[in-house]
Amino acid sequence: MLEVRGLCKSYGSRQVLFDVSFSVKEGEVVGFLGPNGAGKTTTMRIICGLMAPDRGYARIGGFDVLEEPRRARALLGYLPENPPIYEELTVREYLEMASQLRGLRGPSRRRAMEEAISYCGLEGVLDRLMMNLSRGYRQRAALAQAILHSPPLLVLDEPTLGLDAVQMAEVRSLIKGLKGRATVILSTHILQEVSATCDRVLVINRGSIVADDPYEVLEERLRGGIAFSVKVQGEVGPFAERLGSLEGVARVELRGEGEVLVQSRAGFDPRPEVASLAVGMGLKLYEMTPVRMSLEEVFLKLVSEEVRGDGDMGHSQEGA
Amino acid sequence: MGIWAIARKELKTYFLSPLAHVMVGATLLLLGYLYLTSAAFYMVNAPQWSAYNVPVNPTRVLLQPVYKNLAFLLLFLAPLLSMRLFASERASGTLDFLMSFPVDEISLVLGKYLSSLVVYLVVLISLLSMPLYTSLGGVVDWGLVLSCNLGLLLQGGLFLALGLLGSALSRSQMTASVMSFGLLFMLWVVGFMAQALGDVSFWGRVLTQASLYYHADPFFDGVVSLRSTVYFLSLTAMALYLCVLVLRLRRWSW
Repeated sequence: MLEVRGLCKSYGSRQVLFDVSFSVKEGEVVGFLGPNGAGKTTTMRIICGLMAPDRGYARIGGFDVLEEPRRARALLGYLPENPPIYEELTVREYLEMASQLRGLRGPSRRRAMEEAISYCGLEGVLDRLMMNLSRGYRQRAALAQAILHSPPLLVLDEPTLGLDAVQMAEVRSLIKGLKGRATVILSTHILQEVSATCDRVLVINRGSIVADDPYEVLEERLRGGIAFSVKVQGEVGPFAERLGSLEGVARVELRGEGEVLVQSRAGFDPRPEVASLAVGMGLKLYEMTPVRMSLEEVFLKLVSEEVRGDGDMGHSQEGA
Repeated sequence: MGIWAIARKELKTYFLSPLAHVMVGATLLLLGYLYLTSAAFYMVNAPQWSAYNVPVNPTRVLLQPVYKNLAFLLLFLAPLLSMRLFASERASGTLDFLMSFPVDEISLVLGKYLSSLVVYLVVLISLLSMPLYTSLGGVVDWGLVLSCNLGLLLQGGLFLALGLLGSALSRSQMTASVMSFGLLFMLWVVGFMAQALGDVSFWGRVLTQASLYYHADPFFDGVVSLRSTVYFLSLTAMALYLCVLVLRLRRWSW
């Protein structure tokens, strides 16, 4: 559906994309994840043919976005970073204009508008001027515009930027509902978003793709080993020290009042050893609970990892 | 198809915002006052002219000054009318939105251009009330009226195209209108140098041919020349084409 090969782009002397390549198969929902300034928007703009790369190309459905822009764009629905709204138009006029620009006519146009309106829940605001809409409704109207012609490919650039929690959840569920109807690529710097909506995650940092995995694999890969907290009664200090020298333990962290956080190396599960150590030292072992690393932590790890040029995911927190 | 969708959207924006109304209204008010001034001048002087048998074409006295003044007003009117067309879309980021549609730059430029031309046509058509009103009390030289209107249409068409170009070059409406005004004013005064150099020198002749005044003025005297029509139309086409180029080049820059 979408093929991106070898994109390089510089703004003046600052290079923002370094050989970015990936492809998206039909029906996939792909998250394009990266910190601010990583090159997400630039890549999105290149995909939509709004900007020419210095090198490389983007093809939608086999059509090069610069060489055959009309055919490529006909397959595309685009939601830019800032909702593209015309303050002086009503929602209905806005969608009418978009459908005209899409070349929809007559009954098929009416049907397309009705579907987009009901999908995005815009019935109540159709005759309101867009300048009077809340940010959430503006975003929905912009999304309605993007899905109006049932495009096979949807490019959503930071679709939840600037929304409050409720609006965010609404927009996310709208995106989730698109699964199976269109191929979606959405950029975000929020981790929850990819976990909430995407099958596959592309991680971009400083203009390069640093990971391209299904969400679960990414999480696993980032997680490396397992993390668990140990609650004991007794002298925690020496216990923690001894823990650190156990095989398969990457990191030990004291968490106050008899609690220790243990992070294992990838492929190790040192829980039995930890338990026997505690008992062997005469401590009372109350609890051993796995701790899910929050994805935010994972992300920080991924990105800082690449910055240091350390490719081995599993050992990143060693000595941190 | 794309052209019409764009033009309709722009017209809605023009007439839903106070911009078009204020501009059309103010222009008509101003020109109405000038018409009354010409009428007063005519009323005071007509008895003398008839007493001395001076041949006077009332259309020339009453209407020609109004049309000539509109030609001058266009220097300000055109940049103000067209400044928002691209600049505001660039500022709000909606230009990307439009460019993501399967609509080429030519349709985009023409659609926007046509919308500003329609607003301007509203002014010209409303102004026809003046010759119509004049015809109630006397004979109107419709040929002269037609030629004046044709001249205004061509000149206005060119000015709006240059205004659009200014707008495509900037994301600030203020900058856009100042740039367009500069372009128009340059076109307006380029012939002054020709006058200084005289008709015999090479550059004098070139600048005369390039001068707006040289081509626009005959229309207000009832002279419709093919050469001047071509001058206006080709410059207009060139300005619009430059707009298209600016839009295309945007992709290769930031």
